Amino acid sequence: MLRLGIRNIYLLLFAIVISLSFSWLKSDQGGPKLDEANTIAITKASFLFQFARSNDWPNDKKQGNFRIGIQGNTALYNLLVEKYAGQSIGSQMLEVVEIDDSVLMSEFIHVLYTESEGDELLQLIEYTAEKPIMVVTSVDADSAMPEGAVVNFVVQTSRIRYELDMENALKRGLIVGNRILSWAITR
Amino acid sequence: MRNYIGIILVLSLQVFASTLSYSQNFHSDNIVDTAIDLAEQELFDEALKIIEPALSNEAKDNARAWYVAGYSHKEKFKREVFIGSSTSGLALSERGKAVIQLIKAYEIDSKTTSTSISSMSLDALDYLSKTYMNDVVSGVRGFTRGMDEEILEYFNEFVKIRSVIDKNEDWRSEEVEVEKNLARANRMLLESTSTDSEELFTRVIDHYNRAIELDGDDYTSRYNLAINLYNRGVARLKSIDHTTAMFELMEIQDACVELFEKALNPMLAAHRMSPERKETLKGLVTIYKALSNEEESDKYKRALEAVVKADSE
Repeated sequence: MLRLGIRNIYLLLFAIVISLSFSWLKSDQGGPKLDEANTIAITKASFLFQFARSNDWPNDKKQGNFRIGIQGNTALYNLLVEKYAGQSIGSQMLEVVEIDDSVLMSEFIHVLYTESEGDELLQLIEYTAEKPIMVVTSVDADSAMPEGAVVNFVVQTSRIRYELDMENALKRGLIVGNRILSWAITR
Repeated sequence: MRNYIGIILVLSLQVFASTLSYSQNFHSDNIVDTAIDLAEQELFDEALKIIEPALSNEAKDNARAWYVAGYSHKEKFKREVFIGSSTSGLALSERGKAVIQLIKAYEIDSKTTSTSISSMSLDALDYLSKTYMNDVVSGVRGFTRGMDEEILEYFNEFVKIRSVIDKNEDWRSEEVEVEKNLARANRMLLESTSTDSEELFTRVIDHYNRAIELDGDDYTSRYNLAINLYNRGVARLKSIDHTTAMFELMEIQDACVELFEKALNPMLAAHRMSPERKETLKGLVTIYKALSNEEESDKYKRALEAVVKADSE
């Protein structure tokens, strides 16, 4: 009798454990969280670093820090700092700077990324004209590459690609590396 | 005279045959009774030594014989669980044998007028089915790499036994949960390992796809599938660093866009199921943005803002 009672209690406990198991399986165990990293900024940052590494600048610009300037995109600036600050470009230390007019006046920028458009962009290009600055723009896919820019990011089949104006590069005294040249697209 | 001899011969043969059959049945019942006695004394090994050889001969159609064998293996399994684990080699072997023999006992007994053997077999099978389900949950909880098949095997055994107990039971929603849990377990493993594993990622995706296959209306599977695909793409992008060459950058970008595109369909499907859910809208904003489709990204951003606004009013 006692043995039967113990057996019943055991079976009851077992049934409770099983029902808890079922509900545990069905409970929300914490799904994956959406990674909100800025993928466009990551891609552009990677390209800018490639541009810095694969081109050649005049000898007098191979002293001091190698500067990548970012205008109008704080997320991109932060990513470059986070990922590439402290790396070297040749014998120069890489420095990432967020650009405003005062920076442009006081420091030489090797690669200048801007999201400016219209008059603001014209002004910037005019100011940097004939200087060995690689001006990188990012305009709408429907718009043509801005006059005076050396590189322009474009979206092609959901991918970020870039077009290159070799004439402008030469005018500015920049020697574009083969790797950069070979991956450039034409529209 | 010849006829008489013939009749006597036939009768003698009949008597001999029925005596043989009677003696076989008698012998079989004797064996079963002895085995039951031994099992009642918890001498399961001894009981099995007597009963199991008879299962392929004189007792092959004897429901009681199959039951006592199955019961003995079930009790041996319980002993194993008590001293160790339900998934040790011996325990698994005992449980497997118990299930086969108890099902056989039930099938033989229920063919004719069911006796208590049927209900006792079903009770024992019910218990064993639950131990399988318990192993599924324990397996998911303590998941280690590559346990997927083992856990799914336990679940399949569980379903197989339940279908004997009641043909109308439907365990599909539980199977969906098992698949989702396995997907989650693999993802957590993937996130915790320092080295990348395409195999673990494939398992995550396969489990969610299987869950969707089983239940076309499951929102979570679709949403989680989309997030896993998207996050995988982002993780690959994040792996780019100063050592990455230009051609690698192009290859990685291609692979990422492919993953983002794959993430889009399940996220859109999840959105269609629940158009007001903020996380899905946010997912679409993000995926379209990653695909550089600003127009669509903005469309879902506006929809998300509208839902947030409606919530706060």
